Amino acid sequence: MTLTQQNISAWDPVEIADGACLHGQIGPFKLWIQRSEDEWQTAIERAPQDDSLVMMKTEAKPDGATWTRWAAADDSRTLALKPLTPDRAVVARPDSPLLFPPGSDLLFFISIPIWLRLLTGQDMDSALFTEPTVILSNSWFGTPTDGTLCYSLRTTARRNRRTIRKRPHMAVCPIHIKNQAPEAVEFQRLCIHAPHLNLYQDKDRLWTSQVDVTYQGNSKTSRTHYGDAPPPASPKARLISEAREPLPKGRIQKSIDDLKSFIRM
Amino acid sequence: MEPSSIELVVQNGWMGARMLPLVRSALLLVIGLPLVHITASMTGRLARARMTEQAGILIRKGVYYFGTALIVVMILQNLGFRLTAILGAAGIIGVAIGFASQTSLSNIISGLFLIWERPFEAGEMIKVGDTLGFVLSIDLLSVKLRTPDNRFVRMPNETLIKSQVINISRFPIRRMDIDIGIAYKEDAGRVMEILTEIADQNPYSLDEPRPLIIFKDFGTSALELMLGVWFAKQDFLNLKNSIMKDIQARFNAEGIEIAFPHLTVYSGSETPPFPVRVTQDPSEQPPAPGSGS
Repeated sequence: MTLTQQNISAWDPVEIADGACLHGQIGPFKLWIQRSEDEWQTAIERAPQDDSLVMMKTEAKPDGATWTRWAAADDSRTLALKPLTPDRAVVARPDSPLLFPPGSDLLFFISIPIWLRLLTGQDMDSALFTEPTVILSNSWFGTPTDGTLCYSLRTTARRNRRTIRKRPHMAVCPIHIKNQAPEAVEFQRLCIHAPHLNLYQDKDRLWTSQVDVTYQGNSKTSRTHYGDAPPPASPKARLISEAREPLPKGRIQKSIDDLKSFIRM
Repeated sequence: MEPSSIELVVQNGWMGARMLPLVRSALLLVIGLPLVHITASMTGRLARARMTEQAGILIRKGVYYFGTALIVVMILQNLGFRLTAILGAAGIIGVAIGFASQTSLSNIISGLFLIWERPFEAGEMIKVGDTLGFVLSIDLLSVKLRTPDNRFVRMPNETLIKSQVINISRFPIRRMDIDIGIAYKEDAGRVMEILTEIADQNPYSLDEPRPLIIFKDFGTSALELMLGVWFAKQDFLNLKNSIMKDIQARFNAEGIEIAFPHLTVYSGSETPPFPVRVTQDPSEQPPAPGSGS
């Protein structure tokens, strides 16, 4: 099943009747929603290793679920799920180290789990919750005395987009690396500021904007650029979610850590 | 200069000229002190928002004390006191008090050093000796702490300058060291791999820096291992509770015995240990023959 099925997208608004229970599933993230006169009720479960996609449909109330009550902002019975990028930077580590020869100019792909925001209200401006589809482990980018709290992500770092599994809860992030240093660089980990990425959707998967990294050697700062358009790998993908934090123009960021512990020759 | 309307009323009314300074002083007190208080609060709030909490407290107190001193000086001048004479007398009294209260002076100077050196700030958690607490404020004579169980502790500045102070929350990440003793019959290498997996699967344990696992010693009753997991300082309780449960659950699932202190008694090097087996409550045993009871 794809994210769009018969012109219905998983992100389209849905109406819910009073007393009805809707169920939807995006990968391992399962959601049940009820609407009563003046409140919403939600229940969430996560099923690891599950890549299913279930569009919102009426279903019986599940037994044993833990429900959360939300005061309704108005009388509207419309809701929608909105996908978002993670709320923190993500440190991607390949399953096995990958070396980039000097002068190389390569594109590879990693998959980042999305966050889901449940929107309600007549203008779809009342957010009930924002939850990750997958709970990522914490990680730290920096030294023990100074740095940034991130999420940790293991990746296969694929070169061929056709070999990437289609999973409704994962967004494919194209990373374009240029090695302008005279030596080979070993990619051990890469810090991607996910809140700076836009989210796009084509007919069967989610994409983020492309990240361009230029490595100029150990003694110089790596240059990182976060795209603001659909990635070249899927130029017709439509924008479904803007970056959580727009990147100030002209800012240079270190994403491949120029401290020697992160990139080794 | 034409007298103000208040002065005309006072001079021409029943109060007379002597009451005028008193009225002025009262007005200064009634209007000035609240104004100083408001100004100090606003300045402190602004400083706290733009700088640190400690800076906010310092600036608020500085503005408050300065403003209050200014009002007192204005009132004294208004009442006709000669400030030079007062300051001279205050100086002599101050020296006398200073000699008599050396400890207070030491605390004041220690407080200045604490503020300058910044080993800790308001809001941080410190440990001094056996006392653990959040710093509420660094004041003139002492530092105020609030313990995790909500007790109030006043610690003289001099004590802090002379003691070892551990600032627990200065750095953004910390390492939690967990000592684990396993039975001698267990495979230490396999247990160390399992501990690595437990740390990697716990969401509060940071993947970087990597968890540290050390085979510490061949202990009296156990093989002593240590698991050191890094965490963001705000996740201390979440990690502590979750990882302890994870370790116990996984050890139970793998059949790994957590050693407890025990002593094995041998009669000699060539013999097996004495088996000890309790079969009956001794109080229920019949008396021995010939005991006379």
